[in-house]
Formats: sequence, C-alpha cells, structure tokens
Amino acid sequence: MKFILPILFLFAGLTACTPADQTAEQVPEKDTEETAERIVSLSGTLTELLYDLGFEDQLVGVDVTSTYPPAVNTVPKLGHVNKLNVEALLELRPTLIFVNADRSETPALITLTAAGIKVVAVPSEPTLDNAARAAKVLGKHLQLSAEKVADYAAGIKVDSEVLAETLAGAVGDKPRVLFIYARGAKQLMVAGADTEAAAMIELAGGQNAITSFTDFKPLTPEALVEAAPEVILMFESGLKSLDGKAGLANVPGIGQTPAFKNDRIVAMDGHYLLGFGPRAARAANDLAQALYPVQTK
Amino acid sequence: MKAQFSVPAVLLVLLVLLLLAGVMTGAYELSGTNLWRALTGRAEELEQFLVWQVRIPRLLLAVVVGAALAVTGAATQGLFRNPLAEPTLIGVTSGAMLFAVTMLVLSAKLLAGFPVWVQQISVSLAAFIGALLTTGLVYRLAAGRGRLDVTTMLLAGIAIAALAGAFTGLLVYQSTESQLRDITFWSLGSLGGANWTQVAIAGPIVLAGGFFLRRDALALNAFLLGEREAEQLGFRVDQVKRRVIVWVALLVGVCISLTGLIGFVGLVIPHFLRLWQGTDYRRLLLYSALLGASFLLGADTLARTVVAPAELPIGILTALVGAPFFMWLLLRERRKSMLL
Amino acid sequence: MIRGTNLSWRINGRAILDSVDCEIHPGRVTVVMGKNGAGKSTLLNRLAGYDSAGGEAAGAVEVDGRKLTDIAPKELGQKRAVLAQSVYLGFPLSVAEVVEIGCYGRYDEMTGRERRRRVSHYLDLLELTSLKDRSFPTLSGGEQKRVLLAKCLLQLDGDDATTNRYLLLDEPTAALDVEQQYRFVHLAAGLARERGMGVFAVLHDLNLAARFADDLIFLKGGKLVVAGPKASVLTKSTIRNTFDVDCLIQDHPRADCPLITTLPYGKPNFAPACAP
Repeated sequence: MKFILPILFLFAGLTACTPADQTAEQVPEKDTEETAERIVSLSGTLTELLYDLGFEDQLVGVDVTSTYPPAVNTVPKLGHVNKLNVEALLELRPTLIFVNADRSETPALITLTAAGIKVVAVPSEPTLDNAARAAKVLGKHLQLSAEKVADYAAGIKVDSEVLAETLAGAVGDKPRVLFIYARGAKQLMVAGADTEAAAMIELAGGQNAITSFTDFKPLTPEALVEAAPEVILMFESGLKSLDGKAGLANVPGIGQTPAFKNDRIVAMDGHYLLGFGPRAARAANDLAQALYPVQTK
Repeated sequence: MKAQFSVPAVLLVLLVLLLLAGVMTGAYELSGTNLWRALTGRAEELEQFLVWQVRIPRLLLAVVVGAALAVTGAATQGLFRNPLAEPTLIGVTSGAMLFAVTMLVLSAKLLAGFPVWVQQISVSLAAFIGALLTTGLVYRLAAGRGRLDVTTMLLAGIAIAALAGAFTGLLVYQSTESQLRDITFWSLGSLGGANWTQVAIAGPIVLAGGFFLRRDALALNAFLLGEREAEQLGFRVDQVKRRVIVWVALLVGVCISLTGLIGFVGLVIPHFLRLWQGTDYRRLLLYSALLGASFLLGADTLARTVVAPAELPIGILTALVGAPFFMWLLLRERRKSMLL
Repeated sequence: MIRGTNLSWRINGRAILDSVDCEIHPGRVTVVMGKNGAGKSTLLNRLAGYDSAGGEAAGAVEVDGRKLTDIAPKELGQKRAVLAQSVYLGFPLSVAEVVEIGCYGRYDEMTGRERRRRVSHYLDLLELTSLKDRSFPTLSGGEQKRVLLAKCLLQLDGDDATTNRYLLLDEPTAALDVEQQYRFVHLAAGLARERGMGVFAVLHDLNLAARFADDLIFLKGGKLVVAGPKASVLTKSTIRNTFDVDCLIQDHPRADCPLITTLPYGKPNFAPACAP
C-alpha cells in the first residue's frame, strides 16, 4: 500500500480544480503503518464519503447506486444491495462492509457476518447533516481521528450557509413542487409526504405539492390537476426515459399544470439530488435557486 | 422392467455429477486443490466458510426443493388423473403468495419493534401458513358430505387462486417501491440465502412426505383407472385423497416459504419420466425425486454462473427450460397421435 | 350368494331405485334389463357396495350371509369385481400394468415374480399376450374390455377355493360390435359355468339375455317388474310391461333357448324400410 501518499496528493491536486476543493484539502495523509482494509460500500452516499475521506484505494467493491465520483467506475460493481451474490462478495475478500442501516440485514449480509466479515450499518436520514453523521461512523471504523472528521464536517457546513443565504434572499411564495419518478412512460410515480424527495423539496424552500398521501403512488391525471404544481422536479434519468420535455408533454394532465405551462421543469442527477451525501446542501441550493429565480441581492 | 440398465442408478449418478459440478462452480473462483482442502477441512477460513456455509447448503436445498416439487407434481397429476395438473391447482401456491405478500407489506408496521431477521422469518412462516390454509379452504369447498370430488376441487382451486391473486394484486398496488422489489424478487424464486437451518427444516419434511406418498403408490396407480376402480379393489379412496392433499400442501408450502415460487418443475419432470419410463407410481415418485433434484440443481448452478456476479432468479431458468421442453412434448405427442 | 333386500336410492326425493330385492347365485348368470333410466346400473352399484354419497340409500346387501358393510374393503375386493361400463385412462399404462392392478388387494402376499406369473396367466387366458406391452388407451373398445376382464379375474383369483366369487358387469356390450358382443357375453357366461362364479350383467339385448342368462331381473322406473329363472320371466306380457314393446317369442332354431323378435308398438312416427 505504498501508493497511498502519491495517490492522496494526486487526489488533492485533482479536486483542487472542482468546487469540492475545500473538502479535499481537509483530508490528512494516512498513516502508512496501519494495515489497509478491503472496503466494500453498498451505498452511493457512503462511497462518495469514502472518496472524500481518502479511502478510495482501499475500496474493492461498490453497489449499483455508487455512481459518484466518476472514478468509481473502475471499482468492481456488485449489483443491487437486495440481490447480493455472496460468492462474488467473498471473492473480493472484504474486511469491512459499509451499508445503509435499513438494508443491513439482508440474508446475504447475515451470511457474510457469519463468515466473520465486519458489516457496519450506517444510519441514513434525509437531512443536510446526514453526510457529517455518516462520516463520523465511517471514521470510527477507519481509525480517523475525531478532529479530522470534525474538520470535514465543518467543510460541508459551509454549503449549508450558502443555502441559507439563498433562502433568505428568495422572493416569492413557497412554490408547490411535484417530484415525478419516471422509468419510461408506463411507470410514473409521484412522491407523497414522508419521502426523501419531499424532504429535499422542503429543505430547498419549497412545499411538496402532494400532501394527501405518503410514499410513492402511481401518477394519475386527476392527481396532477389537484396538486397543480408550480414546479416539476425529476431525475435526469427519469426525464430522459420519457424522451425529454416533449415526451413529458404527452403524459395526460401534465400539460394542464402551471409547472408545464410556465416551463418550470427541473431535472437533476438522482444521486446528487437525493443521495443526502456530502453535496446535499449544494444540491438543495441548486434546487432553491431553481425554485426562486428572483433573488434580492 | 423396461430398461436394461438400472434407471435409479442412472438418475443417482446424474445427481451426484451435478452435485460435484455445483460445488466446483460459483462466482468465487475456487481451484481444484483449494476445493479439496476446503472439503477436507484444511483450507483457510474464508474458503472453508464458502464451501461449507454457502455452497453446500445451497446445493442441498436445491436437491430437497427440486425433489419435493417434482414428487408433489407427480402426486397431484395422479390425484386429478390429469397429466397437466400441478400443485397450483389446489390453491397452494396462490395462498402462499398471498400470505407472503401480506406479510411483506405489513411486517414493517406489525413487527416494527423486532429485529429484521424476525421480519424475514415471518414472511416464510406466513407463506407456509397461507399454503396450508388455502388448501384447507379449497378442500372444504370441494368435500361435500365426506366425498371429495376431484373436479369440484379443481374448480374451487381455480376460484380461490383467482381470489387470492386479486387480493395480492391489491396489496401490490399500494405497496411501496422497496416492498414491490421484495415482492417481485420473492415471486421469481431464489435459492440465494440458503443456509443449514433451511436444509434442516426442509430436509426431514420432504423425506417424510416422499416416504408417505410412496406408501400410497398402489392407490395412485389404481386411481388412474377411476375412483370407483380404486374403491372396488379395497382402497379407502377418500382417505388416500386427503393424505395426498395434505402432504402435497405441506411439501409445497415448505418449499415456497423458503425459496419463493419456482414453477415448471412439478409439471415437466414427471411428464418426461412418464414418457420415458411409464406412469407406475411405484417407480415414478422415486424417479421424479431424483430427476427433479438434478434439474433444480443444474438450473441453480446456471442461475448463479451465467451472469456472474449477478444471479438470475431461478424461476426464470426453470421456465426457460420447461416451456420449450413442454412444447416439444406436445408436438411430439401430436405427431405420434398418442392420447395425452 | 349376494342378496340385496329392499334396495333403494333417492336423489332429491326422486327414487332412482325403489325397494328392489334381488339375488346373485354362484355358478349362474343373472341378467338385469330395463329401459334406460330404469335403475339397472344403480342396482349394480348398490350390489357392488359402492359408496353411496350424493343420495339417500336404503336397504341392505348380504354377501354369503354377511352384511356387506361388515366386510373389510380389501376382503370385499377379492370377493366381487366390477367391470365398469367405460374407463377413461388419461395416462399411458400398458396392458400388463392395467391387469396387474387387479392383484393390488393382495399385493403384500405375493412376490414380484408371483405377480408377473399370474398376470401372464390371465393375459394368456383372454388372448391378450400379444398386446401386453401396448398402451391401454390405444386399444380398441373390445380389446380394452378384455383387458379389464382380465384385471377383474386376477382380482378374484385366490387360493381359497371355498369362497364364492362374483363378477358384476356394467353394460359389458356397450361400444362392442356384433361379434364382440356375442363373444364377450359367451366368455363371461363360461366363467360362471366353469369356475362357479356368480355373474351379474346389465344387458340391453333380449336375445343375448335369452341365450346366456340363467336368471333375469326386469326393472321399470326403479321398481322391480319381475325376477326369476329365465323361462318364467321371458313372456310377452312381462316384456310388454317392462320395455313397452310387443314381441314374438319362438324357440331358437339352433340353441336351446327362446328367440325373441320385437314388433313395433303403436304408431311409429316414421315408416320402416321394409313392411312388417
């Protein structure tokens, strides 16, 4: 593992060019005398954190939701956390597996725990400080000092302040935002209350257009008319699966919404928007700026 | 005896070969020497674990479930005197599905305080209970005044299956995305997550079922000529029917609860054996068990290697093999103009 | 002797069989006849001791002095065998396998070799040896009946010479051609004479009955019209009452039995091909 130092420097240098440079500069050099772990991350957010905290060279496997940063594409993919192949995991000889707490006791992971591999369940909440809290848990198992974790958290906090400013300067009423999850024109769902989408909308200063039910439900024209959203929020992949705005226009009821009439359709990367990772506040800020285009500055 | 060679010996050899193939293949690349070390207890811990706690239980579960599905298929065909019959017809599978889906959707609320493993076991338990309850209901509907009419049972089974399917559909409709994923996954069948506990539960039950069904082999043979024929020979026909239904429900219920729905095995295996070796239940049940075990073993080995490291749901593989085979059978029989 | 006393069978209050007494004697052929719906098959089923769920049964059956309901099913199976009117077999059982089913009642008492020996014996007796590996559903109607008869004979085959055996045939001539009908009934009657079996058959053909029966039972509308030895039953008036036809009864020119020619009764709706 003698490549850690140069790789870290390289990483620091690379990330210096991106807006994430504040976080990267906080990462300390690793103590090369520690034995390296073989880490498997089964969550996109946790993977992103591992890169931020500088452990990407100890990463031997990731799940299908781990899409950021782009460098992760070279890491072996293990499929969906619900459908893990135990043998494929064992072949990687992991020493440490990080997974979201709500998915931590699938049969495959139970088997792996029985094999003596450490499976760490990391709690995940749809809040802006989710990444900081997760980083603490990661840091504990990776022997990162509390100080370094705190520095990292502080770095993330800056984005929250930017968001607060945006919201403070926002002009206009809280817009009603409807989140549509699309996988082709035949599979359209809308987000009710108690969803991560609703949480993000609220953090960005909007209100969820749907209040009458929780969880995701299939989209119906009546629901669209009743919700009368002023903004439609979607994943980029979702909008693409509908062939863009033109395809969206073909969905019955969409054309009647104020959102469509005023062409207020916001598409963002799925993991960026709802991953509640280190860039969560930034995503919220981007969304807030889309919701409140007019700012008092 | 029709064959010059011993059919059970051939089937047994096939099973053993497939077991060997199964223990040697998998997403984890295991060299021959390491495999041998693992089998004899001298390998490193991880590979030891892989072979003894991951692969072997899975192979054994495939053997047990494959045998159970084929045997219950053969028995059901004897009960309904129809080569196209399957345990699905007595309501077993739809009942198991309904209760499993109900538990999948409700367990988060009902068992919120309990650890996740309890929630998962609850789904298996629910499937098992559902299988028995629906079969019991179908039986009640069909057995008027003590006499069990097989045609009525068939119709009752279809009706109950439709009803259970409707309720399942309702539950699926208002399930969350993650529940929907679990439900779909469960309904396609999978042997992943097999462990020794499952083998220890299913093994004895399937063995017992096979043993008791074999004891009714003569009755099932006589039954093929008609209920009255069996009755006049001295068989207590209603008791036989009851026994067969109970064992079929038990075996299928256990299998579904552990592995989800796996189709086609009960239909295709006995049918193929009938064409090859005849319908005599004194042999058919044993042959079905052996060939069914081999079939599922082979299918599972394919399922976990064809798209490694991902796994194909096994229900897809059995259908992929089963359906074309079935079509070939139908065409062949049509050509020979043999009565089905 | 199988004796049925006061046998009745009702469905929804309607009497399909109404207080019929009858007897089957060993060594004699008893034929039951009547119009369709007269209750012939129902009588056979009651004498056979078939489960009578689905309707109300009354009356009792005695087999060689014992109440039928007191006899264990397997033991009963070895005393009486029923040749069903038709058997639908949806699976490819071979002829030998079908015949073998006859000895299932005594399966544990015989070795495999013994079973095979007895099956061969009966296949031979009924000239079925060349067909023994053929699939039963592919046989003609006549061949299938012979196979089922072989099965029945194997079922009744026993070492105990003192037990009476009874063979009940439900419309054995159905689906058989003219020659097959004659040969089959002749075969069944021979069993009575040579082996001392009590043979009970449901027939439609008056002349077959006249030729081969010893005793006759006439049923009409579920009720007994007349029963007894052939000569006393076969009269113009009984035939008229039972079948609603006039007939001519003559002495058979070749055999020692009556020859019955039926005549048209009343005004038919169509003219026959040749004038009477």
